[in-house]
Amino acid sequence: MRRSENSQRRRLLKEKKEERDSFDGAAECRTENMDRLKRKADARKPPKGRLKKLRIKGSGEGENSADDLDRKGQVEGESRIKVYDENFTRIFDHGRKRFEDKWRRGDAQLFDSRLWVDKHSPTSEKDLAVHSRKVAEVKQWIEEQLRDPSKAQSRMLVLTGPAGVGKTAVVRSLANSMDLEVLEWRTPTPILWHEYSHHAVTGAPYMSKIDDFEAFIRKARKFLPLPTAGVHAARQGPTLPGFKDGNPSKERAKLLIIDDLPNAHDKAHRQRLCESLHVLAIGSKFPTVLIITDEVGTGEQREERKILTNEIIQELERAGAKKIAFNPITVNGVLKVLKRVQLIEKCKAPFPCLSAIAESCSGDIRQALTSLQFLCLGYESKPSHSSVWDPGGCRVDKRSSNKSFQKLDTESDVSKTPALGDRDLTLSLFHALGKFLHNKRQSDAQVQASSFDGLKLKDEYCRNPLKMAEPETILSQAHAETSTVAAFLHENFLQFVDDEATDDVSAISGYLSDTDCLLCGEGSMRFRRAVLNFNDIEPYQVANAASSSVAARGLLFANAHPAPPRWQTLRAPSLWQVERQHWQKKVETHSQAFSHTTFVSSSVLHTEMYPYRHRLPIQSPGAAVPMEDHEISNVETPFVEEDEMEVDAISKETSSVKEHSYVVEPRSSEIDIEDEIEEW
Amino acid sequence: MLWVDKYRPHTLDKVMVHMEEAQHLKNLIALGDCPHLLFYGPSGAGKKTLIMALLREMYGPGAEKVKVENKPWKVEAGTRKLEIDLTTVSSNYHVEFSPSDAGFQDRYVVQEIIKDMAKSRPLDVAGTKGFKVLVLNEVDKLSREAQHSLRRTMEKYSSACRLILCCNSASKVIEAIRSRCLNIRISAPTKEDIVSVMQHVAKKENLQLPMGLAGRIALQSNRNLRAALLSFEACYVQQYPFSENQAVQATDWEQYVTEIANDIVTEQSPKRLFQVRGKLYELLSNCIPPEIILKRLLVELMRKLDSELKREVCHWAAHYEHRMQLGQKAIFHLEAFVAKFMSIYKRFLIANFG
Repeated sequence: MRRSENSQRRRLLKEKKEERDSFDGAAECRTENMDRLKRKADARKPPKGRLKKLRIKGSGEGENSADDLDRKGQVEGESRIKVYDENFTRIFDHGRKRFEDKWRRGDAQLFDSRLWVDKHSPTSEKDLAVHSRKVAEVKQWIEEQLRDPSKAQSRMLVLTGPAGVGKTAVVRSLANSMDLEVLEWRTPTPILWHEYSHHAVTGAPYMSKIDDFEAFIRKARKFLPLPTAGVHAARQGPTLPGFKDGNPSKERAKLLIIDDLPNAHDKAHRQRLCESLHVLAIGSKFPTVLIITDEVGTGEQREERKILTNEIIQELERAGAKKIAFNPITVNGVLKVLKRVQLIEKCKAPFPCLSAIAESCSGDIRQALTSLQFLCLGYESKPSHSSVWDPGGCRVDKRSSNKSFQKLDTESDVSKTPALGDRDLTLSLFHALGKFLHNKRQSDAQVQASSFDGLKLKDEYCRNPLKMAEPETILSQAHAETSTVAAFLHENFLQFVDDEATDDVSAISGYLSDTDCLLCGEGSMRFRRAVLNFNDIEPYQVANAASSSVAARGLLFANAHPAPPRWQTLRAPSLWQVERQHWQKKVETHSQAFSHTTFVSSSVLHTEMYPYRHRLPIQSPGAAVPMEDHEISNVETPFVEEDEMEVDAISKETSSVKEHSYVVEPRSSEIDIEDEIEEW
Repeated sequence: MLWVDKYRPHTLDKVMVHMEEAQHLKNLIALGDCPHLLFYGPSGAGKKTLIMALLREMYGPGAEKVKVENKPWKVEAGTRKLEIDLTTVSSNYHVEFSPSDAGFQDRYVVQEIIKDMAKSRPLDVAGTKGFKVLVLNEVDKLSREAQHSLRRTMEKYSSACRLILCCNSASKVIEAIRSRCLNIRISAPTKEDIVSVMQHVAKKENLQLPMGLAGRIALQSNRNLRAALLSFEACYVQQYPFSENQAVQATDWEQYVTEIANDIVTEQSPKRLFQVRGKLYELLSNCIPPEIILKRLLVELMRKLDSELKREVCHWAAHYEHRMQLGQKAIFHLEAFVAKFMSIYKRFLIANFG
C-alpha cells in the first residue's frame, strides 16, 4: 500500500517538473530523505514511535549518501570542501552533469561545465578579490581560535556585507589553505504543505525550519567534538571519509559555517533564533562563522529582515562575538578577477565590456562573473559550444531569453553594456547628501554651448543644469527616511552656502520648513493605517516623497551661490541630541510639575518657575500646601511623598543653577559621526 | 514656600483679580449643579486659582487634600493593550491631569480616566454632590482625535462627572467641545491689578515696596501675575530693603533671547545663523517652548527695528509660528524665521546705508 502511495507521489512530482528528470539525486534532499525513510520504514517496519528519531537521522544520512552518489562521477580529491553556494547552483550543476553524461560522454574532461562562478571560485588566499586587510582580519581570528581556543571570549565570528562580496569565499578559501574541515548548516529544502500531507501517513512529524535549526545548534554544541558521534557529524553536512572509516586520528580542526538563517517572521520566532545563536556564540565547541547578507532597500519584508539581522548581530556582539563588515568589492578588484577569468576561458570580450560589467555590478563579484559568462557567449565563435550551453541554458536561465542572445550575436561588437548585468545602484546616505550639498552644476560655458532655450525664465529663477541624476532618483537610491535626510541637510547646509548669501540661506531654510510641514501633514505616518497593502500607494508615501523632494530640490535651487568647493565634514544632526536632552529634562522635571494642589504646565514650569526658583533660597514646590487646610489630616502617604519630593527639589535646585546657565559650549561631539564627503 | 503659592487665594471670596467672575461662579455653585466649564486665558492670569477656589467652594476644604499619583493606566484599544504612565493629582472629589502628557495616546487616556471616574461615583449619605469633577489641563494641546473622543465621553458620562477644562487658547479647542461648556475667559490682570496684589503680599510680609519698583516688576512681567510675584520675590532675595531704582532682572532665558536678537541684528551671515542655531538649541534643550522663544524673539527684534520693516517681520513671524504648529521640528521653523529676518534686514541695510 505504501509503495503504491509512494509511486503515486513520484508521479505527481514528475508531472510537475517533467523536465527535471535529474532531480532524483541530491537535488531535493528533503524529498529524497522522505523516500529513503519510507523505504527504510517499509523494510524494517518499525513501531511508529521510532519514526521521528529515524527521520532526524535520516535527513543527514540521506544527504550524505546522496552526495556520495553525486560525487562518484566527480573528482573526489580535488577539494575536500564542497562548494555549494546555493541550492540553485547545486541543482543546476547536477542537472548539467546528467546532461553531459548523456550526450557528451567523453567530452567531460575537455569541457568543465560548471558555472564560472563555481569554476573560478577562489581556492587560495591570493585569488581573493576582497580587500587584503579584511582577509587578514578573518585569518587572524581563525588563527587565534585555533591556537588557543580557551582564551577566546567567544568562538563566533559574524561576517556582514552585501551579497556577492565574497564573504563565504573568504572563509572557504582560508579554510582550504589552513586545512580546516568545514562543516555547515544548510537550510533543508522547503517542503510544500501538500507534499508533507502525503507523508503524514508515515507519521513523519512536521518540523519547522527553526526547530531544525535549534536542534542543529543543540547538537553542534554538545556532540560534535566527539569523533565517535558519526550520526551527528553526518547531520552537520558533508563529512569526512575519515569519520566513516572510524579513523578519528586523522581528524582536522573544524570550522562551522552558518550561511543561511531560517526565516523568522514574528517576534517569538525571532526570539528563538536569537537565543539559539546566542547559546551557540557562548558555548560553541569550535570556531563558528555566521555569514549575514545585508539587506538593502525598504519595504515591509526587508525591514523585517533588517530588524532580525540587527537583533541577531546585537545579541551576538553582546555575547562577545567579533563582527567584521565586508564592503563591496572595488571596481578594480572586480576587473582584475574578470580579466583573469577571461584569460583562462580564452574568450574575447572587449575590455570596455569588462569595465562596464565591473562598474554596474556594484561590488557583487558573483553577479559580475555570471554576467561575464553570459556576455562571452555572444563572442563565442565556436558554434558547438553554444549548442552545449543551450540545453542547460534554457532551463536555468529562462529569463535570459533567446532574443537577447541573438541581439548580442547579431550586434557588432562595439562596447555594449551587457543588458542583464545591471543591478540597482545604491548610494550611501552621505554620498547622496554630498551631492545635494555640493550642488554641482554645469559651468556657464557648457550651458552656452548647449544653448537650450525653450521656456525663458527670469534670470533670478534660472539655474544651470545639474551635474547629477534627478534628485528623486538619488533619494530613492539612498534609501533614507525623509526626516533623516532633512535633518542632515539642515545640520550641514550652512557651510555650503557662500558667506554673503543671506537670501539664499533664508530661502533654503524656508524650504526645509516646508519639508517639515509636509511630513507632518494629513498624509503623514501618524495617519498610517495599521494594515498596509503595498500595492496601493499610501498617502504618507506620497507625502514622504514630496517632502524629501522639496528638501533636496529646494536646497539645490536656492543655493544659488555655493561656497567655494573645499573639504568639508558632514556632521550628524545635533537636532537629535537636543531632542533627547529635551525629553530627558522633561521627564526629570516632571515630578515637580505641580505646585499648590494643582499642576503646572511644563511651559510655565520652565519659563517661569525654574528660572526664578534657582535665584530664591531653598524653596520647595512640593510642600506648597498651606497647613491650615489640613487640620484633620491623618497622615497619608501623599505627605510622605511630598516630603521626599521636598528633599528632591532641594537637591535639584542646587543643581538647577548649573542646568540653567546657558553657557554656549561647543556641543559635545560624542554622537557626531564625522564623515568625509569626497568631492564628487 | 514660594509667595506665589503662599498667597494664593483659596476661596472665591478672597480672590483679588477677576472678582466679578469669582462672584458669578459662586452664584453658579449656589444653584446646586454646574455645567462643564472651559477656562481660557493667558498664562499667569489666575485660571488655576479660580478652579481650585471653585472646587473648594463646591466640596469644602476636602478638595484641597490632594495626593499625587503616578500610575500606569491599562487601556484596551481595539486588539492592542496599551499601558500609559500618567501623573494625576486627585482628592476625594476631583481628579486633575494633563492628558497631553500622554503624547499621541492622549485620546485613550481621556476616555479611560473618565470611564474610571464615572465608575466610582461618590455616593455620600450626607447628600453631597453626586458627581466628581475632572480637571483637564492644556486641552488646547490635545490632538484632534482626543478632543473628539473627549466630546463623546463628555456626553456619555455627563451624569456622573463634570469636566473643568483649562487652556490658553480657546481657538485650538474644537467647536463641539466649546459649545458644550460654559466658556469663561480669564483675561490677564492689568498692571494695576498686579501692583495691588504685590502691595498686598508686601503688607503680609511686612515689606516696604516702593511704587516705582512695583510698577517696573509689573511691566516686566507682561501682565503675568505669577511671573510678577516670582520676580518680586527674587528681587527681595537679591536686595532688601528695596530701593526705588533697583534693577529687575529678567529670567535668564529671556536674557538669552535678547542676546540672540543682538547677534542677529549685528551680523547677518550663514556663519552667524549657525551660531544662533546653537543658542536656539540650547533653549530648546532646556524645554523652553518654541512658540514662546519665537514670540519673545520677535518682541526683542521689534525694539531694534525701523517701523517700515515691522509689518513684514511680523508677517513672517506669524507665518513661521503657524508652520511650527503644523510641523514637528521646531528648530526648522525658528531658524527659517531668523534667516528670513536676516535676509530682510540685510536688504534694508544695503538699501539705506549702502
